[in-house]
Amino acid sequence: MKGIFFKITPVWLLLLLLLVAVAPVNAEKISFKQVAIGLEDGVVLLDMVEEFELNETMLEALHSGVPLTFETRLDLTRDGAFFWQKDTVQLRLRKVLVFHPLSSQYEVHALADDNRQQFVTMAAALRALGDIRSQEIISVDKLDPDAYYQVTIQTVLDITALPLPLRPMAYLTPGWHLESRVYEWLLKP
Amino acid sequence: MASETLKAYRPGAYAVALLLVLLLGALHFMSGAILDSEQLSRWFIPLLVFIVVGLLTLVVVISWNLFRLVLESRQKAAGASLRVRLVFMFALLGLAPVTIVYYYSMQFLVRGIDSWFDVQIDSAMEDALELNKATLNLNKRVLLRFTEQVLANVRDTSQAGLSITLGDLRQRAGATELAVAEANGTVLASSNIQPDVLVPSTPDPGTLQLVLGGENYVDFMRYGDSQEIYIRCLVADLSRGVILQAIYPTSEHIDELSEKVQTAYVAYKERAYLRKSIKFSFILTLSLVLLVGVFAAVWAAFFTARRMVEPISRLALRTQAVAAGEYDGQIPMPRQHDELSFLVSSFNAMTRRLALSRDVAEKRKHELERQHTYLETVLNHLSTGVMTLDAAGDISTANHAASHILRADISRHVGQPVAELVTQDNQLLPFAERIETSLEDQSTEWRSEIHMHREDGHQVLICGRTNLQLAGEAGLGWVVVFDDVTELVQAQRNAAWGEVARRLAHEIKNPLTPIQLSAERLRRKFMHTLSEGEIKVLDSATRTIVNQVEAMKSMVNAFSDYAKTSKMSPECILLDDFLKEVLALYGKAVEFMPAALNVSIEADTVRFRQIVHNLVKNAQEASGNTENPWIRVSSKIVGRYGEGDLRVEIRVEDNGSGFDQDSVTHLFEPYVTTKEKGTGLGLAIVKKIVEEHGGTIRAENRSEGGAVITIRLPACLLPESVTNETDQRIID
Repeated sequence: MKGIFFKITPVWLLLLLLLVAVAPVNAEKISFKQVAIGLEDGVVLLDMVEEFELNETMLEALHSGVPLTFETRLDLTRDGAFFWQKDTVQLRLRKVLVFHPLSSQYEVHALADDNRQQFVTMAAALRALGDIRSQEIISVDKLDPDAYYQVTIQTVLDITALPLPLRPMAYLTPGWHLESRVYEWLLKP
Repeated sequence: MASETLKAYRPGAYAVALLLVLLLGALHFMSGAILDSEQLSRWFIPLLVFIVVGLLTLVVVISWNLFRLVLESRQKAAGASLRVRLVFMFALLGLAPVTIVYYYSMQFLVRGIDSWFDVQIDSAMEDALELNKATLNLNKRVLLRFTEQVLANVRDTSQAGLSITLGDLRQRAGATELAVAEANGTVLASSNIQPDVLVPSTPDPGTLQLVLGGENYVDFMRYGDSQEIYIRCLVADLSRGVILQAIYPTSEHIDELSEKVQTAYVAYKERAYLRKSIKFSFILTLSLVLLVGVFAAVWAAFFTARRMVEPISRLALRTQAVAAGEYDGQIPMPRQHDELSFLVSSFNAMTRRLALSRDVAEKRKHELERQHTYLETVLNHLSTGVMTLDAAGDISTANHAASHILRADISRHVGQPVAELVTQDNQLLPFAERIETSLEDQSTEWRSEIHMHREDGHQVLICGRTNLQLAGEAGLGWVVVFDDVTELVQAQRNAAWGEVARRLAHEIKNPLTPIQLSAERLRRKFMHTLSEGEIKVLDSATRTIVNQVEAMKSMVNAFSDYAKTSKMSPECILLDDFLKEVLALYGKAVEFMPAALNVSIEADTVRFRQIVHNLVKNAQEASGNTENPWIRVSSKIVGRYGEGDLRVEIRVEDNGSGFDQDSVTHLFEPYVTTKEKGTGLGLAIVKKIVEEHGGTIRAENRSEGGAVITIRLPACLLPESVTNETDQRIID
């Protein structure tokens, strides 16, 4: 599979590319390694590589059969829009990390396309978890070429997707609050 | 006011009740969020925050109530002690069962959840999984070896040949998919049980690297739409640079069993893991319920105690007010119609009746006071002295006239026996003795004439005493009524003497002239006809007759003058200056000691001059036979009982023989004289003139010897300017 980095034709497209080369890894347990937004065939695409680091609490839960759901939230808003104005795009990419004790494999299940991937190691599963390729954001026709758009991306562990009895403790325990920083930048079509 | 206090509590009570209802609702939703509601679980944190804030609000409300209760208890406010006991009792009654239920619920909860997960079950689940793994591993090893043999049979190099070979081998091996790829991962050919699946399942790069490292790979995988368990085998022929991937289905039965075992194992592991969280959630919910319940019970204890005690507090306050004499005001009736309501109603009825009785009593009291004031006014306007004595003989009341007549402040001796009046003025001794004696007399009424020696002379009182007695009751005391009849007696006596003098003058003066004329005729007719011896007798006899007649005429004229009503021409004079002027006639024979500066009197100067001359003359005659005789006249200001009653005293003293003790009391009556040739009218006339000037006179012997005549006259003080003017007038 080829990444979007190789498909972007940036001649007529103003692309704001943000490379998060050095992110404070320890500041949060989800860090952006690479983020790129480009245009391909009239569609704005997102390529992103994130690095996940789960703590002991989550690992224990995962190996105890608790599926962990991570949600990447992408909001694209016209710059200068008032807060009550609806976002142009609200993209929610959810992936579930599951451990199968019988096969001792980790499964990454992308809910958007129902794609499941099995991995023997945790590291491979986490890499797959943070790998988003050629994710369509919006058709460029729907954007005002003279306007700037603000893009925000954040990935969080979705506590509401945890088993019901675990949620109170997850809400109240800092170890269960896993989220990346919010990255923002301006985009001009 | 109390009602207002209770009303002031109501909005707060409603607010707290509303808060409790909301808290209960929040707890209900929270339990739903924890137990069974996906939707509500998103509201867990807001619900928790709301409940915590609500609990903190309740803590503040309860703390405030507690603070007020402690404060009121320390201030010993009405009903505070009862409220403390009730709050303590209600809180205890509320807290004890809740705490017990909480304790045992916690025990059951913790032990119950723990009992779900047994070590043996744990072990059994692990064993079942391991057994399953072992079964599948055996299968895996067989399939791996089989795959190695398959790879050995793959000899074709062309893609078409490979595809055919793989298809054939897949069918014979019973595999779901076979695929051959180069070492870089490029798929050379594949065969799937489903012809429409053209792209083979790709292993993850790590596994691929592992196989390229020379280690063949076999493991379970989820495959296909059904996500059933399959076995993936990866074997590599490094010499040829190819990798064969074979995906085999597991036995349907084994797959089903494996799935069940795994599902059960995962479910068990998950639940075991969630045990801690479930306990935490339950304990959290239960604790919040307990706290809400406890705070609600404590607040309800405060509220109920206040509601119960409030009417009692009001009752206590009103009772204190009634005890202090405040009968007005009613206690608001409690809402509930119970015994307390009956008590409040009865209390209100009682205070109404008390207020009515008080009003009637006050009306009667005012009436009595008015009557008393009226009676007092009447008594004070009486010239007769009225004094009431209680049953013990102590003075109860006395009117103004009584004090005036007795010249003593009787009000100072109210509640004391009459004899105590003597401590103020010992001249009242006869009065006190007679009254005290009369009280011993059991007769209903008593009347008597009392004579007292006062500083300004003799005082005569007509005194009467009557028992005070109501029908059917013992004696209430006595009423003593007395009149000062001194002036009346004196006036009667003076009138009697005047009448005597007038008659004497009339009866005696008429025959005196014929007697004198006859005696003179006898003398002229027989003076020259008788012998010398007889002439001497005649001359002596007639001369005696004439002289005696003259003497009698003088005496009769004197009586006539005494009886005659004098005509006063009063004028204001400065006493000291006047006396100085009159006494100057006697030179050093009379010593004058003035001490009535600026004091003037209203006097007829002619008659007042006669007083001074008469008294000085009497003194001179009384001290005529004394060795080193002296006469001293002095003046001074004296006061009498009552305001504005200024008097001036004039004393004429000598060191003569003094008065007979027997005649002292009658000195100022006509025909009383200690002199051989006196008419006995000198002092009587002096007394008459003094009384005509509104004064009093008294005579007494000095203890050192000699006599003293004391005159007291009404006087007034002149301002200094007037004094100077008067001085000037007198000098002129």
